[in-house]
Amino acid sequence: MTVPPPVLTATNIRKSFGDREVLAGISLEAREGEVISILGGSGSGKSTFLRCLNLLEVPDEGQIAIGDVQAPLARNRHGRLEVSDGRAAARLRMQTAMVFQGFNLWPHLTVLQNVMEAPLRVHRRDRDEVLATARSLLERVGMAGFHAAYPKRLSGGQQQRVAIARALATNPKLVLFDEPTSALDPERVREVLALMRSLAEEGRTMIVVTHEMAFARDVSGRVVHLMNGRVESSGSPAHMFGADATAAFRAFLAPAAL
Amino acid sequence: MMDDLSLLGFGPDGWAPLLLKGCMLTLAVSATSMAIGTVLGVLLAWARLKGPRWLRRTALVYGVVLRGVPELLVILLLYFGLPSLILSLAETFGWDAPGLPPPFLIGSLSVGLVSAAYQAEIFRGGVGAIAKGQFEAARAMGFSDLQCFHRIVLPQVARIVLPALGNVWQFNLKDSALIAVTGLSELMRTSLVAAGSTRHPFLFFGVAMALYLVLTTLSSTAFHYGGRYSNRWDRG
Repeated sequence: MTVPPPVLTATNIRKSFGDREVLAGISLEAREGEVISILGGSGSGKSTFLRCLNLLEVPDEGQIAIGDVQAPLARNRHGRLEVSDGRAAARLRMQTAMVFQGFNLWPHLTVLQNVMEAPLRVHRRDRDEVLATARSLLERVGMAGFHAAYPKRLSGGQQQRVAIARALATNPKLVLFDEPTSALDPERVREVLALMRSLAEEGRTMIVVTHEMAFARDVSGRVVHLMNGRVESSGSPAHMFGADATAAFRAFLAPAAL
Repeated sequence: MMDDLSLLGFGPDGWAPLLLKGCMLTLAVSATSMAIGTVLGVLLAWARLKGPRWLRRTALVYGVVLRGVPELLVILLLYFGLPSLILSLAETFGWDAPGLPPPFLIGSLSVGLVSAAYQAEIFRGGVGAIAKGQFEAARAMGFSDLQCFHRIVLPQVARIVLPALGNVWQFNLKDSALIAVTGLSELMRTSLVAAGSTRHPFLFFGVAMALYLVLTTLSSTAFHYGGRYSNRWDRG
């Protein structure tokens, strides 16, 4: 069996906010079809790391490539890394999609328009094709009856399922999930996790920042534990949740086991 | 009494055609100044929010000055002050002396410059009221800044700013009366002339008042429905 090509290569990502170092050099590679869960306490840098991958945050150091697009990062005259080419940044982002903790659906667009917006306006795909994809995605996430609804009328779980359909609408190489269930009621959490599990099973490449240990253990192929801006430990779920786990990861898990 | 009424009619000594023309001119000046104010206001708001430091400062000073001086002064400065400056320059360098500038253009421009200062504040507040996640969702999908502005920011800002813009429009409409000093025969100037030449000031100023009220009421109704439409997705 051949090893699938890497979809994401992030090398030595560093980021400080003022004097506080949030990311102290993190590298991560994701291969096609891989599902990686990033775990860590609050302030461990997991969300910041995820947001560096699509340049919502500009790292202070490091390199990022998604597919065959290199992140356009270059030093400015003060020696700080910055996005040197807006179009290239957009090309990088077009390979990815992001699902947010707060859903961030566009309130002035209907459910269907939310899903169709990026493939139509950014990828400039054929309208009929985009419509067909959007319909089948909304069916897939169980929101087929809500095409004309505005986001405000939907529950949190429904909004997040629409946001996932929106993320998939461009058929991205890599989907980034930033604590997708943290703002949801427990019963809504289940419906969103079930959907994410089905995406994993169909071979989507996903990086998931989460507090859902069951998802990390049962669905992801690799678990990465961040602590103080570094990868404290990483490995398969069997390894990470088994007898060989590091003391630090056990300590992180302990409150959840109570 | 019959005399009075024929003064307002369409007959040979009636003022109706001129008054109506004055109304149209008032609307045209107000709309032009509003448009100038919106374009310049958006640019000023952008400068305040995203511009480099010198541009932020310039936009701030612009707002302080144009909101802090009487509009009549701006009109006088642009219509009488500026040409006299140009005239003295022309004499110095031996150019041909230019005439007075076109009143419509200068009138719209002066009211528009002031309007821009107020509109900039409104747009700045409107953009500030949009959740950060809205921009992030667009950027994360590869939207350019322009696409993000056009597709995501503008429709949401419109909902927030329309009521306040309605107020600015109403001010524009009333401030356009100040342009009467340039001799442009908009509604105010026309009723001044009519009042003077017929010696019926109460009648003509009363009629002017009624016509201004019609214009402001109609336009605030239009803004009300525009506001409802731009708000359709937020009514749950």
